Amino acid sequence: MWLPILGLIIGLLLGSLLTFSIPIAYSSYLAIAVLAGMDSLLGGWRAVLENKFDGMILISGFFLNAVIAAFLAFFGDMVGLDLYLAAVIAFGIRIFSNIGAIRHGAILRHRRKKLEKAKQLAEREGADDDQ
Amino acid sequence: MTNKQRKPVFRNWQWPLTLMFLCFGFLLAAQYQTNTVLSGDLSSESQSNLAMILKSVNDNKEQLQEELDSLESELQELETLNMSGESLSTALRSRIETLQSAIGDAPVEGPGISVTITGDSNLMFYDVIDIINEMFVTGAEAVAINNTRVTIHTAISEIDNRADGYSITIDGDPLLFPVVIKAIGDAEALSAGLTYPGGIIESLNTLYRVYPIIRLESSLSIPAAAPSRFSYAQAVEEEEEKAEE
Repeated sequence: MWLPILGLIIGLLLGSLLTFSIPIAYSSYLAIAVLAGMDSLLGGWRAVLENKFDGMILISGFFLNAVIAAFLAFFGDMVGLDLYLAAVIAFGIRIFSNIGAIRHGAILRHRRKKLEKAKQLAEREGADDDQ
Repeated sequence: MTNKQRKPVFRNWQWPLTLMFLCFGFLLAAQYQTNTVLSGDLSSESQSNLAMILKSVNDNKEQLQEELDSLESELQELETLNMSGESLSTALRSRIETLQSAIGDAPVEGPGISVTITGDSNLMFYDVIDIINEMFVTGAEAVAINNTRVTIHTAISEIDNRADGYSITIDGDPLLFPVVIKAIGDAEALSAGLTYPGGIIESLNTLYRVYPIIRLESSLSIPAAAPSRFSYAQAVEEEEEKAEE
């Protein structure tokens, strides 16, 4: 549970310490890529909760989505169309739906655990009665 | 998706997710930094803002230009003032030097002539005065008798020694022989002024049998006079002098 958060912190520190700064002209593309990455990560978290997580899908989705989103924004700039808005809206909607699913999954998991605990307790009491 | 459903491997999700979170954090930090740079950049400003910024910068520039101009003119003024001050001080210094040599306040040296009169002559004090006058007439700039500087205050006279007859005095002190009169100036002119036919030397020779020896000197040194004191005379204020002019 804490390992991904640790990874995030290390990544933030690494990015800050390296003073990694891309050319200003590509700043909006990186912003879109960051949005796509966020979406992928939330999708991964959701998959974990739904017990259908696949590392390969997460990694490929993370990079491919980021690249395609950045390319879309770039292409939009080329043809004079605000195509990055499409990416922003699409990823925005997906991020919200993913967060919703994570909420659902977390609540369901919590309830299931409670239920199992209660069942275990009841079984133990039943065993006690047998004695 | 249903055929892809598989047995959940609980530990398996942590490492890929961690890796991706790391990548995401890295990208986020990079984007944040780029954005921070961008927000301080003019290219992110709106057009009206840019116009305003341009106007204020232009105003500032004009103001600075004005300040620069005024400072430059001030500098020029000060420089001319400084230059005139320098020329004034050099002029004053050269004037002081001229005056010092004129009143005999400073020792001087230069080419000139020396006139030597030996003791076995009947030299009178007005002969000395005549010689010195002739020297000044022919352009002597500094004159000394036996190393006493002749200035406007120098008194050449004689005293009666009773037994020995008269003896010449310079500022009250008896003049000792041999008398050496040194004059700095154009040596040729000085000697010509003394030796022209019918001049002082000739008349001294023929009338009084005084035989001065004249030598042209390439370098003579004449000492400074004793400082003159003024007890009664007072300098007139310069303003009055100017008014008179």
